[in-house]
Amino acid sequence: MPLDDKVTRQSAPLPPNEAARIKALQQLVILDTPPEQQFDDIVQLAAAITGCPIALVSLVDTSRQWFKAKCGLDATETDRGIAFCAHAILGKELFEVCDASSDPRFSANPLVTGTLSIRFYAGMPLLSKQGFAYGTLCVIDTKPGRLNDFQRQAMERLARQVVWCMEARLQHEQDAGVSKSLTSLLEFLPDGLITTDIEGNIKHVNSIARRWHGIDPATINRQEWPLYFELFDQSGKQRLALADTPLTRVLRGEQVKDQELIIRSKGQPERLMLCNADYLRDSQGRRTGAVVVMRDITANRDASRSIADKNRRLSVILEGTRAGTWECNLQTGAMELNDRWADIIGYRLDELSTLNVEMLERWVHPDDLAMCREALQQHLRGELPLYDVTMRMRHKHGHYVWVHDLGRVFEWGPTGQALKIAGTRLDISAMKQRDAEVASARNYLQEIINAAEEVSIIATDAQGLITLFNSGAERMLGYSAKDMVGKQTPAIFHLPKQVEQRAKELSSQYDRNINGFDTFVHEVRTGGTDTRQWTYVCRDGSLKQVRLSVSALHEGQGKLIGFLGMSMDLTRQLEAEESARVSIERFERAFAAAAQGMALLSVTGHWIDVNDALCQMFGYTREELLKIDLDQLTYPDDLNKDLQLVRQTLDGAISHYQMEKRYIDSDGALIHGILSVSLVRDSRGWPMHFVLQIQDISALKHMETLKDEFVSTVSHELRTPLTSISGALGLVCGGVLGEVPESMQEMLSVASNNALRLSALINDLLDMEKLVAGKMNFSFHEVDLTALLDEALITMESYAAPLAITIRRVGTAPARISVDPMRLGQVLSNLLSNACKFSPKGAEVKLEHKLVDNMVEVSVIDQGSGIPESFRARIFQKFSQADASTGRSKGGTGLGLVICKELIERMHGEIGYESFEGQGTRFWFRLPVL
Amino acid sequence: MTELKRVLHVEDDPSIRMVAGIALEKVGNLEVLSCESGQMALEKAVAFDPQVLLLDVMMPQMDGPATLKQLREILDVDSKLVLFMTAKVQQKEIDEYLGIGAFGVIIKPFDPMTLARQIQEHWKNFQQSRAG
Repeated sequence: MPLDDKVTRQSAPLPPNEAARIKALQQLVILDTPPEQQFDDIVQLAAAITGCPIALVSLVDTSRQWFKAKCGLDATETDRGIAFCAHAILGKELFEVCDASSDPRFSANPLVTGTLSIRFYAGMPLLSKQGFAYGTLCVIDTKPGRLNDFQRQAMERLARQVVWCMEARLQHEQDAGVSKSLTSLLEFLPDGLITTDIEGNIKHVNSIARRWHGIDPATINRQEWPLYFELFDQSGKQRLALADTPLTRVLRGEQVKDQELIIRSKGQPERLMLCNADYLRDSQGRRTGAVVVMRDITANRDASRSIADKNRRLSVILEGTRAGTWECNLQTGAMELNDRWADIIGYRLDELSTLNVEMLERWVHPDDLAMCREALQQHLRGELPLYDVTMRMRHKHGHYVWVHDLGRVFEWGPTGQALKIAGTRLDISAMKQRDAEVASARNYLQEIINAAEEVSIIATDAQGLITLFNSGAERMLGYSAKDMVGKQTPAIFHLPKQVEQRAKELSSQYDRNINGFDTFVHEVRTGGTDTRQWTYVCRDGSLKQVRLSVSALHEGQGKLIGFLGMSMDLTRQLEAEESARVSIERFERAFAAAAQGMALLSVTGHWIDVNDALCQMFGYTREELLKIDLDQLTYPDDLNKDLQLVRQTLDGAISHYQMEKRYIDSDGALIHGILSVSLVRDSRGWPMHFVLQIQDISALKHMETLKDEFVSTVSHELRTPLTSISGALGLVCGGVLGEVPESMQEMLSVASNNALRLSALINDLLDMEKLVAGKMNFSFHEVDLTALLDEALITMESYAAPLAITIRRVGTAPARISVDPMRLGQVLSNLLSNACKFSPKGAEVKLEHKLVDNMVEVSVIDQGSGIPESFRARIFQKFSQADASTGRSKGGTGLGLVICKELIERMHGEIGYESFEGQGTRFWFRLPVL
Repeated sequence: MTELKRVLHVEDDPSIRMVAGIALEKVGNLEVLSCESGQMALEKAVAFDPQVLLLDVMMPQMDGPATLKQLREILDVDSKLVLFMTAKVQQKEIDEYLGIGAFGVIIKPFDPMTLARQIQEHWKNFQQSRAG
């Protein structure tokens, strides 16, 4: 509707109570609601009674009038400035305008001048009890007019009716709200609730009752109930007839109090119900239906059943075990006991013949006495079905034993007083001991947690406030539990930057803002553990790398009560990793740069890596070499021995080995190498790969060959002239060429002896050289020792004869041994010639053998002067002779015994001697007998 | 058992040839054909019909093993006692001699007084080994 300045000038003033009036109007919650029949009826009635074409229920809002009901008009509202009703609400009586065109307040009103052309208006204010005019009930005509008395009264009544309707409507809305919240309250009651109307039709079943029935019984036909649920009596044996159900009973007029019944429904455990039912009544006390309230008492029944079971079991145990029994006359205090009862506290029954309650109480542990008496009194008063007490009793020996008494009054007096009580007693010390042990183990575990110095254990409440700070945490962070618990959050020892960084990650991951304490626990709220590396800031400002595992703590019912964080200091581990990395790098550098050939070889024999030196040694490029099998590079004769060692290494018999091995290079030339192999195993001990090092000793081998040739040549070149010299002298001295003049004999003998000595010296030197270089080959044969000894005897006779020494064999026991016969002969001739040399003329040398355990011992015994004390330590050392001057006269190189020792040891034997100065010497060696 | 009589000795060193010759003939009472080279031995061996071939190893032109090889061409060497007489007695050298058919080795320097006895001993063993 158009507005102009004139219109505003003609507007009605505001009522004096305008603000309160608007508030009252708003409280009706009626503005802008849909039309309602009761109001529409009233305006129709008003129009009919007044004969006006237009009738309205108009509510005057702050800046508009809004029509709750209307007839004869399309508009739903108009501006308050042009509203006739704005004038009408200023008074309490009917406001009547007979001809608006001649009324100066309305003549220029667009409602009057416009198409609507209002001439007549009569509005009755809609007054609340407090006197606020919500608006009007008004009638309008395009012709001037006036209401008669009847019409005026009708308007007043109708207006009162409108107000009543509006206020009743509000009340109804409010009631509906209350009823709605009541319904939802009932819906979530822990007790089951079912209501019916007075006919017994089910009206409402709350959610717990629906759950117990497996269905909402109101939604299905009564005949179909057994398909879903059935009701039984409390024994569970008798199906409950409809007539016996609580609701039916109530509606029949019975009182239903604490009726027990059982519901068995599909998909639900059997439930024992305690039911109470009553009528539902309306506000006037009329019966409108019935309600039953059901409580699930299944758990109570199970508990009482288990007590019954326990008692049954006890009686069985009583018969089976030697439980103590007792009976007490409560009037006299006299007691009757059995042997076992007495035995439990260390007495014989006859020692307790005078026992009464008073004495008995003196044996009860002082801390348990009051509890004991109270339990008895409770039982006697009927508050407890049993006298059930665990207590300590003093044993005859002074210590306390734990006993469990279970008793019951079995005789009552005529006035209901307890007369006699009887029961059993069990010795439960062992059980208590176990309990104590469990408790102590638990304590111990707690102590371990406390003492877990390496692990920091920190718990917080749900908001992050620290609730536990163990000694490991104290140690790791330098804060004391006292300063942390209940005072700080973990933020205090975290790097803010790191936490922010993590918070950002989480925020973007979950697409919402995550920060603060939530950063640590966001991912574990619903379970699981979040483990990651963090930096802790210790109290002294130092930083520690830790691995933190966070998990949520829940109460029994699953309610989150806090979080638990366990962290381990990674600093040392990271250092170890770093040092491992450095050593790997170092190895890699060493590997690449090594002057010697090196390679990594898989356990299956394939190259993993080779270094430059190895490539160079074999004359291949790296790429070529990696394609060639190591076996192909090996000189065929050397392959097997290597493979054997590889097997032993993989088996764990050896961890590494070294061998001389020949290889073939790219030109087909032979390479002599020393192969060193070690097997690298992982932390679990599984073989990972071999590390090979091959030292090229071809040049060395060449040198060795040269040396061998040199030694061979030199010995040959020396011996050839020596052969002539000693041979010639031998022949001369041997008289082969005729008698030697006496004057020459001595000189020839000197020459002959020295030629022999030179020869022996050369032989010994060669032997020594071979032994030192490990080159003396032994050709082992199984032989009879006695034959070898006899042979040695014959060989030595020509040596001994000129010295007038007799060699005597002692011992005949056969002994098979495995030796190199030539080398053993060498030892024997050495020992025998020594014995001859150092024996006085005409003396006897004994060559003896005997079996000692698994060995055969061969002794060469002389009657010489014995070995001087001072020399004994050096006897098996090179170039040693007791006395240089005598030694020379006796001949010899001083190498003989050293060679003997080496030879015997190489033939798996041992050598030694016994000597007493002035009484001769016994040299012996032992060899294993086959 | 055949009695040992004839020994063919091949040795380039005249001193040793002389000493050995005397030792075998005078001390051992054996008939010795001393040759100064392998070549000479090849020329005279068949006529001499030796029972023992006593060969030096290191000789100029034709060494002991080569001489033995050549002798096989003209003699039934397997029926002869073959001994090398040498100062080169490293084990691998000895193995080598045995490998080419020697029955034993006489080590230089030798004892002239027992040389014949040593050879007699080998002869006895050799004959036993053949009989066996």
